[in-house]
Amino acid sequence: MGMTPDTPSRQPEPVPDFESLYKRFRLPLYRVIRGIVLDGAAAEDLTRRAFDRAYVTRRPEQSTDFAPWLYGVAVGLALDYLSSRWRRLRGLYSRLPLLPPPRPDVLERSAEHVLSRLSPRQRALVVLVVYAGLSDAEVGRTLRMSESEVGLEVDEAARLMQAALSETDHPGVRKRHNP
Amino acid sequence: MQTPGLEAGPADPGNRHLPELVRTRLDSWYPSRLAPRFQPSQRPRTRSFLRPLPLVLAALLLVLLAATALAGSPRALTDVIVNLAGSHPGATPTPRPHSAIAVGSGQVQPAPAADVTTPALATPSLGDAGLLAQNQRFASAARTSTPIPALSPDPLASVSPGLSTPEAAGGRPVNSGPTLPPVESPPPTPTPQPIP
Repeated sequence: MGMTPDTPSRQPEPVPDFESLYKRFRLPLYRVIRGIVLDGAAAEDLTRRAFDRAYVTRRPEQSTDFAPWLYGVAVGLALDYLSSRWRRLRGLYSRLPLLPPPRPDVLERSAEHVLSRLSPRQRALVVLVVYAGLSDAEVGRTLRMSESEVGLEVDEAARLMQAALSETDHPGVRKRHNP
Repeated sequence: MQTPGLEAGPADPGNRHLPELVRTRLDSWYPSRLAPRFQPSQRPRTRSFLRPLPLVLAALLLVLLAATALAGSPRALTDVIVNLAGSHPGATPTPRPHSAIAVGSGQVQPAPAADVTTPALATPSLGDAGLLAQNQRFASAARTSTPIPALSPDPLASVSPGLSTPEAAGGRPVNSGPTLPPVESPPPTPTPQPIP
């Protein structure tokens, strides 16, 4: 069953093309979203919602450039999730002194520590450049930024990440990547 | 064009392992509950269906609050709710003033009617024949229209049920006895007429 211009955008069954799209981008989309929200359960839910949104808003003539389009949907959902009021309230709640803080060793041995020093937008920028392999132009289209702004933001993110690495002793990571 | 910020060369060796760090960490993440096959969710339609529900509830709450403010009392609010529900408010008994109950009439009479007394009807002059005829016509009308109450604690009140009404006051014989004062409340024990 192929997509024709007369095919309605909402169909009860998934289109085979979209099914293959899901299989191809299921893991990368989940990882990009998790790299932004830094929460596994929320990333799974957001990945599901991202595919739902992409399935509803897809266009029949859209046959190429799936990656920037899908990443754009996913990053938009992740940033919306982080900027929502409930998320901010949860953030305030987690800062209460009654709750136990996250274990430092868990944070310091992972890249979450470095990513957590960035703003959500900078995290999106980093995972799109480093992990998804999008070009600056594609990242700019995804995040509605110019290419020069993308370059400046990447430099700023790199500086912050380097500072986060240098301020904490990171023997595991350094040993693994710089033997 | 790719930004060299994260893919730094030998000039910035600290940044060299940053992409590797992020890439390696992201590659180690696997979803645990994400379905291997795509199943389109029906959640957006459900949401669009349920979205007006909080608005309707909020509007209902506002209407109730406005009714409370306009009614002024919880009792009146209850009446408003009963009216909105389609019931008859008369089904709920409303307290009446003592004067209306003491009349003993079976009909529902408004309380202010007992207080309104026309002096011309209560004390008609002797020589006014037109007014006398009018009063007699009122009295006959009152006799035919006012039913005799079945239950009345006061037997004297049951004999003359419309004593406090202007029609009954005017219907009495003009020269048969002392005229009743303007009735605020019915007299407790009317004095019996002396037998000639």
